[in-house]
Amino acid sequence: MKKIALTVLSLFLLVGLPQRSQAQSAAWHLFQRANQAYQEGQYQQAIELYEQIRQSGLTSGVVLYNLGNAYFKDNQLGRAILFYERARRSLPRDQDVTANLALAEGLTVDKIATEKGSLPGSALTWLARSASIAELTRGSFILYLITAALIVAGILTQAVGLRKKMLAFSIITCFLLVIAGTSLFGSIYQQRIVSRAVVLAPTVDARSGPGDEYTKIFTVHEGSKVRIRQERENWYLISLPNGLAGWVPEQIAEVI
Amino acid sequence: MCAHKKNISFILAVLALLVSAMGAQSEELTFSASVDRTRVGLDDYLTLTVSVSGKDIGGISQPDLPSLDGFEIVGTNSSSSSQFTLVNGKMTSSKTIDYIYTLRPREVGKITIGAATLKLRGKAYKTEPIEIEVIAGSVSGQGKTQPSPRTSSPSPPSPTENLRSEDLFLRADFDQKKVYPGQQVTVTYTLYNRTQLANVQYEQVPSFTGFWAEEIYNADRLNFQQQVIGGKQYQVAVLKKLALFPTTCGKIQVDPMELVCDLRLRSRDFFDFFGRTKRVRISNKPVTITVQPLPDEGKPQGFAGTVGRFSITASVDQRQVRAGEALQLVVKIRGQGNLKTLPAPQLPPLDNFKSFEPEIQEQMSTTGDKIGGTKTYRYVLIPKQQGQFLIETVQFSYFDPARKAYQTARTEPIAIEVLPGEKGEFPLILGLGREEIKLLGRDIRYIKPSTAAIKDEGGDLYSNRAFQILQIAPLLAIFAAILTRRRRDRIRTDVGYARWRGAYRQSRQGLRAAHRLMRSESSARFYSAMAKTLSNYLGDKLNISVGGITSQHLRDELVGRQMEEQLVQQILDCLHACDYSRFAPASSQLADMETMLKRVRDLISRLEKTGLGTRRRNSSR
Repeated sequence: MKKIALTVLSLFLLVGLPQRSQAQSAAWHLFQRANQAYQEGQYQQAIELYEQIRQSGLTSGVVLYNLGNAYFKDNQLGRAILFYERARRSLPRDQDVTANLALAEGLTVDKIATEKGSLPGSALTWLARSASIAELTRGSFILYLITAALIVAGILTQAVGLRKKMLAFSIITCFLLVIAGTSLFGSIYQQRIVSRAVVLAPTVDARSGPGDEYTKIFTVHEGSKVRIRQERENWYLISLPNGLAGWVPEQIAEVI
Repeated sequence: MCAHKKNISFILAVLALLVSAMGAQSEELTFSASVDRTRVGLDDYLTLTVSVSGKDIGGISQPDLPSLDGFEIVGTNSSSSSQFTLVNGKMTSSKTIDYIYTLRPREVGKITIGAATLKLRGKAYKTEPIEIEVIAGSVSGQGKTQPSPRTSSPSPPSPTENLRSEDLFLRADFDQKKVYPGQQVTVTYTLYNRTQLANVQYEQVPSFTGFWAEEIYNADRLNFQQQVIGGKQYQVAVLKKLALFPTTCGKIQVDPMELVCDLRLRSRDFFDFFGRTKRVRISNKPVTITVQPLPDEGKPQGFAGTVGRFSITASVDQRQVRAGEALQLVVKIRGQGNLKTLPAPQLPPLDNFKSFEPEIQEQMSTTGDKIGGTKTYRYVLIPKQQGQFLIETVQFSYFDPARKAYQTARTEPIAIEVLPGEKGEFPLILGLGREEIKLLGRDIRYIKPSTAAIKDEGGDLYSNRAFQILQIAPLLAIFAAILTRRRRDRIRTDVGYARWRGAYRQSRQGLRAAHRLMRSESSARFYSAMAKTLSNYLGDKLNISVGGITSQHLRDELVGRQMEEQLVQQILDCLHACDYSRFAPASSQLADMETMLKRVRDLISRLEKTGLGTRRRNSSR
């Protein structure tokens, strides 16, 4: 038993703990240089440097946020919104991210109703909004471990009173686990399975089929958030929250 | 007793007075009618005064008179007086309007003047009826003859004597007869006399329909001056002087004024000191005034029909003021013209101030028959915020009839410095001064320095294969716990099972103990331990008592459990060999003991593999 617990713990720590590496310190240097460029007003250089960090496979919410800022200052509203959205996923409770995203969205041309979370219940929605997937994953896993440990202890203990307490506690933690787990799956569905994208071109005509020869159905503008329903021959079938759907060229939108 | 009664009645009277006084005070409108006398002669005149007084009676309509069948209305007049009181910055005005009717009775007898009625804001007011006694002739010496001027008490009429019209006449002089609306026309009524005039009474005063009339002069006594006209000496007296402001365009006729004069006749009787008098009526000629419309040409914007000649000034009581504190802007319009109809000047937009309705003061004056004066507008301004502000020019347009042109008077702009309010902000006036924080510009929030490490984006923890597999571990742990628990419960309740489970462990312990005995030079104890270990093992496995087990009994048990005949034989041989060696006289060689140990160990191992006694375990479930 002890051995199992130790193995679980060490595995968990291995996954969760950050590892310092050479790549990380290189990224750190790039980050400092990029911030410097931003401070000097050289936003395009800043964008380049931040993007280099991303290309190295390392990133953080702060990098995404700063990159969004740099794009905003470089008048690339669509990309700014895209990166603020990405930053929000790792920094869901950060007020700067929320404020800048709101400001950038206020500058967009299209007045599209904000997407409502598909999760039922306000508690679940709140949890899914204010915690990142990583946090929800860890939280759910810890609750799962606690619940399992309580059940194991409850089964093995000799004292009848203690066993009842343990099992009662395990019911509570199990309930919390269900909430956290539902939020986690909701978030995963929202962020990973539903493909949302930001329009990057200033104006885009959505057509009735994947090709320029099809009829124009509607026009979307830079910064609008759309849902990608289908992908075919370098064309996306996008849909708006109000139900409109149409095909746009792949390169004009980027998935969040 | 009597004095006591008097006291009570006095107190009651005082109380009644108090109550009536309080009642009168609470009424907002007083409406009453009075006459100058209640007993008149057929030749006399009676004055009926209907007076209305109260607050806010500006737009009041004339009261409805009762039917005055027994009288002839010879003249009507009205006068009004206002009283303004300013209490705590709140202005209340009370006004009294008197409607004066001059009546002449038609027949002798008792006549009742009915109640006059007035309707104001849906409320009806009534006066008390008045009873009048009319007698033949005239009642002399009763009350004063109305109206003045008077020179002496009237005398009864006398026989007629010739009177030439040039000896006594009334003239109305208009300073101009072609005017603009709103332009002043001065009319002077003058009495020219060459006779012995005893008394003068107004028979009829014109109503001046189509004009706004302001009295400049009204003689209360005849002030005769000598004047020679056409070689004849006249006594000349100005009776009335009025300023008339036309209110409509076109030709307006001014009705004549009529006077009743009593002339003293020269007495033939030496002793008749007072003599006799003769009554005559005189009147002036009617006059027509032509009112021409104001020219459209050059009419300035904001012109409100003011005619005259004016100047305008603006001033403030303080040029430095704290925000939220009051400031007074005084706009004065001075000049000649009808001040009463003067509209309030248009103030420039005062966005930085809160302004209130002005307090208006009129100061009338007459300079050389021209009505004019100063009208003062006091505006209270409260600055909303600190800073330098300019009160722009106030414009006032009028038509100057002398120049026949429109004029615009302007004030100088006034600079105001508003200091910050005493309490930093401006809390003195609620709803003022406070403002929302203004968003001067919008920008994104600044970039963040990195606090957290830049991590491997790698992928989500949940999609990590190891992590996913790890999810099984707690489930396994729970499953293991359930199994452990079940086994432990069984051990506690099932002796046979417990023996069966512990048999092998026991035998290992027994063999180790025997191994130690091998070196102790006591072969008997070694073999005894060996036999005991093996038989205990078998007893535990089969859950039988091994105390006095015979080899035959053991054989039956083992065979009964479908054990191979050969294995059973080996067990029995082994046990037998141990018994033999134990009781052998010569001490056994070490090699023999080792052989035996190995033999028993192998045997137990082989027995363990056959699953000895498992059927029993299964059956015991």
